[in-house]
Amino acid sequence: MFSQISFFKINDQKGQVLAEILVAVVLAGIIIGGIAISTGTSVTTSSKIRENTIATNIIQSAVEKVKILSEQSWIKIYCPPLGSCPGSKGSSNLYYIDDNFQIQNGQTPQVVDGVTYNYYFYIDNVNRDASGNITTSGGTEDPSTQKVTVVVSWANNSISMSEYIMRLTSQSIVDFNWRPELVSSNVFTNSLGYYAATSGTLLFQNGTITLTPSGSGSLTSVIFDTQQANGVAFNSIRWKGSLPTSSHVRFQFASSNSTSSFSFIGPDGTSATYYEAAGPDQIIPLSVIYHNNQRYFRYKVYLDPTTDNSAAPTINKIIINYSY
Amino acid sequence: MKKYFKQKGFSLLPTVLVTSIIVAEVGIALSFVMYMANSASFASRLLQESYLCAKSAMSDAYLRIIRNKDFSAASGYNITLGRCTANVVVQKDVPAQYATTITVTATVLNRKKTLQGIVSIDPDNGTALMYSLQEL
Repeated sequence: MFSQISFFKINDQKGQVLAEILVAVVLAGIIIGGIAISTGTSVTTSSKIRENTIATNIIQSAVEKVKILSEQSWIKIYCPPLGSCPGSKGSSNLYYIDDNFQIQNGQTPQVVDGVTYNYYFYIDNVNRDASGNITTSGGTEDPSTQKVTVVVSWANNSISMSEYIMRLTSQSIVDFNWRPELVSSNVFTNSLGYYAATSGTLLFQNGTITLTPSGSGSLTSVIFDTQQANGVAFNSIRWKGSLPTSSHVRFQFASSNSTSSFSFIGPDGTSATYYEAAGPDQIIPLSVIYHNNQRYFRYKVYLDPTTDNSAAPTINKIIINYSY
Repeated sequence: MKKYFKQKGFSLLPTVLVTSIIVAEVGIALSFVMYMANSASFASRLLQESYLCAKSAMSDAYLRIIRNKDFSAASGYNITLGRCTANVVVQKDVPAQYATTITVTATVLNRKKTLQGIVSIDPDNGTALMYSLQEL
């Protein structure tokens, strides 16, 4: 009897131990399996984080290279890859910058920590509306603004980022102190009081230009050289002086890459229109699209007296602003 | 013999449970650290995007000043670049006469980057030069 009870108890206990082992193994399996998956994911994620960080750094480096190149020679960015316009732009024209800071076609590999990253960039024109705001539809092309998109791809991943690059070196030429005897057809890099021609009733008075109010007159400037071999974007004209009511000061502007060919045009690109401000010291924006990537310029200023021919405008300075 | 079985069965389960809890804790901590690192990496990418966007907006305001020395936009205007929107405020004669302050706040998702630049303007010839650029 005693031994019978003892036998059942032992059997009972054995079964209990087995169940405990099974539960323990299942629990351990579930937990260790979960941990294995978690660790695997962590390792993969860690690798992805590293790759993303490297790709982001490559983008930053590429954007900086494009920016440096644009500061050295805007035309290479505006008319890629060689700087001969119109160049090839858009997402189907892929470029990279080589070790000699030249734009090359295609993409280039970069191996970091055993992973091959291919990077390239492409360039898009940017339009602006009448208020000067960047717009994605409509507007007119701004030749001093380009959108650069850098793409880095590796394995089955890719990252892209964009930046607007602009022509931001500001310069000006101020023409003043004209003298009637200083007529010249030479090229000047700054104002020395020379002019090329006059017409009508234009008068010189102590370095300023004005009119005999009985009629209109004009002055044609000498040829000015911005000394930028790849040309500049001419931004604006401004003049200083006085403008009696009902008199007018109007401009036409000509830009060129040679010193022998100039066409004086107005805002619509024809010789039938004129740039005009409501008064002195006001900015007159030039139509940049007609005066883009040109090295030389000259202007023609037209003066008209008041309607009763009693007074005339006087100009003591003409300022041309440009950027490169 | 009875005692031996009883003790063995009794000690195995707690041992496995405690060990598992420790391993699980390490695993959860590891996952959390990875999650944080992943978030940081994504945040870093967003910050890079917002930085490029902020620089674009800064250049835009600078170009407008180059073209028109009197340009100002005290109430601000927006520039969009991909999924980033940058607000640009241009204050003329701040912090001094013949200087213009540009403040750009670029936002990508919930990440912001703020840049401030100061442009000096020659009142006579109208040329502009950015002499200060800092991240706020």
